[in-house]
Amino acid sequence: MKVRNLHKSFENKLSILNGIDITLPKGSWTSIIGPSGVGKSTLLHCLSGLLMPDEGKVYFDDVDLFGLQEKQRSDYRRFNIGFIFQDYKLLPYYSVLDNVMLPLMYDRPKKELYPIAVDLLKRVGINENLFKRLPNGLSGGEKQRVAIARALIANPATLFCDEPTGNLDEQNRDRVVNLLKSLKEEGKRIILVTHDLEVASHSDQLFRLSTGKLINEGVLL
Amino acid sequence: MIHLIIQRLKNRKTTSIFMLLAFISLLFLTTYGIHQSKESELAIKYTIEKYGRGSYDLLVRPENSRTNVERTLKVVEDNYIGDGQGGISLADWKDIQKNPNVEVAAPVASIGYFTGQQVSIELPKLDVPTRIKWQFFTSDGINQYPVTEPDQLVYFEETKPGLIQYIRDPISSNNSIAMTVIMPKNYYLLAAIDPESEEKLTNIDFSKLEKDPESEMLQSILDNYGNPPVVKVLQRKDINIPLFIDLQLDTINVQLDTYLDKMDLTKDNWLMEGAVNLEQFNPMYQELLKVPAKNTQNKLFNLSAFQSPFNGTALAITKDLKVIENGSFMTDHDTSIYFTASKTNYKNLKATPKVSIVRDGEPPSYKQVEKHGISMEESTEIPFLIHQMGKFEVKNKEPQLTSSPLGIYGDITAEAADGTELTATTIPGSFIPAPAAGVTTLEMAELIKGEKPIDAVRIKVAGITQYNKQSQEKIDLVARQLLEQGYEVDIVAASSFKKMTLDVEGIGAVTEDWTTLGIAQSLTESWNLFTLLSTGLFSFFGLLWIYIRLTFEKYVLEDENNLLSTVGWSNKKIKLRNSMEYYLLLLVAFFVSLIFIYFFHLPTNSYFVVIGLGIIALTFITVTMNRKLGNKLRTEPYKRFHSILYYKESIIPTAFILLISFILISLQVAVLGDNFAKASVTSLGKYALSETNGIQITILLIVYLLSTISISDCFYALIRKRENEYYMYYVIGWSKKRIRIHHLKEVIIWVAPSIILGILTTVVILTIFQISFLWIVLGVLVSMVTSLLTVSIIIWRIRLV
Repeated sequence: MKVRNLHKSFENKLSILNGIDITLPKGSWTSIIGPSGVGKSTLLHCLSGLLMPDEGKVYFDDVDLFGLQEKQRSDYRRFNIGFIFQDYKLLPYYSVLDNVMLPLMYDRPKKELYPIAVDLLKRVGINENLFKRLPNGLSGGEKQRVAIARALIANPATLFCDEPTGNLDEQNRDRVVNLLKSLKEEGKRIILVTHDLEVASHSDQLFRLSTGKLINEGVLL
Repeated sequence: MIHLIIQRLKNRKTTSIFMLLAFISLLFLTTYGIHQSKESELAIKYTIEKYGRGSYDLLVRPENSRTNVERTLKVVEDNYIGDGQGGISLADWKDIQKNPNVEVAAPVASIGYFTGQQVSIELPKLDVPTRIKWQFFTSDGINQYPVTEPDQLVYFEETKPGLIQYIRDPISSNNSIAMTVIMPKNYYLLAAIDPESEEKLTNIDFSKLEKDPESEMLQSILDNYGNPPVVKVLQRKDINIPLFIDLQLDTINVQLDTYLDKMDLTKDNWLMEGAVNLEQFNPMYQELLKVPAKNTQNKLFNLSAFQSPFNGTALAITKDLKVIENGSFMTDHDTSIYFTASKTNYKNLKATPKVSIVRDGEPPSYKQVEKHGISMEESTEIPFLIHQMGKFEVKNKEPQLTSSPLGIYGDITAEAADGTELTATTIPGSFIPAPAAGVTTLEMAELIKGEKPIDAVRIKVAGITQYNKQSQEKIDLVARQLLEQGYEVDIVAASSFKKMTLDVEGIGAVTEDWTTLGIAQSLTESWNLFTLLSTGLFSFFGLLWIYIRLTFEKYVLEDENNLLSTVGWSNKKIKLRNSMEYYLLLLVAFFVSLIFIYFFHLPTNSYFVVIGLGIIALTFITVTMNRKLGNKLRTEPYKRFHSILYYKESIIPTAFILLISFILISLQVAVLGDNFAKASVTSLGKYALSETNGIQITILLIVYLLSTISISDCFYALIRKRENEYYMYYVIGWSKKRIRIHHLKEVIIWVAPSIILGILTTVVILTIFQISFLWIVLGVLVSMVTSLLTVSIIIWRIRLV
């Protein structure tokens, strides 16, 4: 994944991203750190195609993400990119299983998605008796693991994680980190935004976003 | 806290504007709508009070005199005084007159179809010998019917003034002398009235009827025919009879001298003197009829403009074929034959009433016609002699909103399907209920018709200045008194004209003005219902909307309340903050509404309505914002309709708003349309509608505006509450279109039951109020289109992501 000369400003005044250039190989974990409000989430949204940059390109292999039409970009995102958020973004009225199957519910029949979703939930350590519960009945750690399972439903090559451990206690944080590590080892590209240096310490590349530019911080030991 | 509230209002601009609009709609539009509904009712009431009273209030007829058509259709043809059999004596009428509650009791008796004296028309005297053929025709507007046999003569010249040389069949030459031909008799309705009471009712001067005729010629006729009674007739001035003469003029090459010689006559002799020797005369006459024409002209002359029932103008056709009045003429005073006719027998009353021909002929007769009297030609002892005393003119001929059934002066218009105006022919038996062409006295009616000649007495009740509830009660009282005396009584005040289509044999569809009974009452009733519905629904809808909107808002605020609670705000403070925001919006809406009321010049009571609604809204805000919400933390998923059931607290109020809007629009459209349809069949109703058109449209617009604003507001708030959800769909790779379709599917699931329930409720309410099926369907359709269109536009236009 290559990012070239990415610029983004809001209302033509406040420049958030100011010429980002970065290469993100497959099977790598890249962490982006920086103070609040510096534009980490904006960068993540631009990299994933959710937000249109003012300038610059994002390539996934040979695919120019912003060269695609809106619908094609959505399709690309659905099958190739997974998202994990700090606030989980689970639908409160769907069961855990339905939430996991949600991204592909219009693409594949439910009976096809069901075993995949069950496998994923098992893999992220969700107890089987929670599968048919609403997210309200889960702990924060469980919700985040369900969100990870949902992000993996289409087996995407890239995972974008926006402060995925921000709401979790230490134990749950470690479980999520271990999950992400195993996913990286499977060849998935992890791009993670965090405040937590402990989480960032597991990455292969570490960047600091400052005044719209990415500064390579190497790897924390 | 005020600063915080203002900040929140600013940051939620769209929501705040919608809420403000909601409050303004509740306070101002509801007040305005109520005012307009009242205005509409007042306009109707004013119209009825001003125009609802006809020329009389009660129609009193002998027992069992109602016709079948009247009993079945509750309408009567105008001028159906004609052909009445009587039943009320002059003494009965005088008794009715004595009732102190009766201001005017004007009797009317249809006597029959009579003719007046006939005058002549002079045939054209051309410069060359001419064979003239002629025939008289009448017309019903579509067809022409001969009323005399064809006749002919051969004209040579006027050798000296007064000596006209012509030859014609001496046997068929009745009703003519030389070139002067008496026009055919015509028979028109004669009615008897009491000149004094009739004048009170109509403001027409009939006093000439009370004078004695002064005519030497009349006296001489009376002397010769046994001094019969004179039926004094006042002829209606504006009625003409349809009469035509068809002329064929063949110029022939013959010489007068030749024929004088043939009959051994000289130029000083009159050619017709030769008729004393018929053996010599007839072959010559036949020969003349066969002489080839050098030139032939045919022309139909319309004499209608000159001819009236009971009198006519003597005419002459000039040699350049123009009709002119003629000072020298002949008259025919044989007026003592008359006809009576049965009432028209309308059949097929359940559909288009049908009128059949009773007797074929030219013209055909649609009634059973009976001949009475003795002609002067038959006897020198005749029963009566018609004498025209003068003319009367019906004033106020401009279209009237109310009619007077059995009025004898109605200008009936009958039209064929192609718009041709139809007229009664000169022969009795026409299906057209023509007005009385002449009036005479009741004494004459008694003489001709018998001791109970009166067909109806038209009563004007004393002490009534306008048609309202009090006057209605007064009229009812007199009606009851007369009913007890055994009469048929109809309250005809505020009756109104109605178009009726008849199927007339030989002519086809014919449209006539008929008269409905008691239209004012039904107009008032339907408008009362409309006002009740409008006022009730406006108030109910406005209050329910604001209650639902606030309940809805309470749920929307839940997350914020939790947040404020987390940061240490007390519950009391949170509730106060929430309430204050709406108090502030309500206050702004209240003052805006007051300003609007001032600028729209609404009456003072509108200010009180706004204050009342404001207080109710204030109470709603206080109650709703302080109400405790149930704990909705649910862990078990719903089996189906997950999102709808999860957000039911927000969706149910929105569905309710949609339901109420649906009902409001469909009721308004259906009731209004039904009122329009029912009222517009009568002229009074049409006028009332024209007076209230603007108001009705305003009410409909207000209803539409209220509904659209409320539905938009609720949908907008619902979508805003779930905007994170829609963004999540976008993040996981759903296209915007897919998100919209997904949302639309969900909306359809709860919008459809709202609309179905709306349809059922509307149909039940409208059926109870006896609104016509057509308008129920139209009301529901309009509402459905409006609701679906509004919902679709909102869903399609609003930004989900």
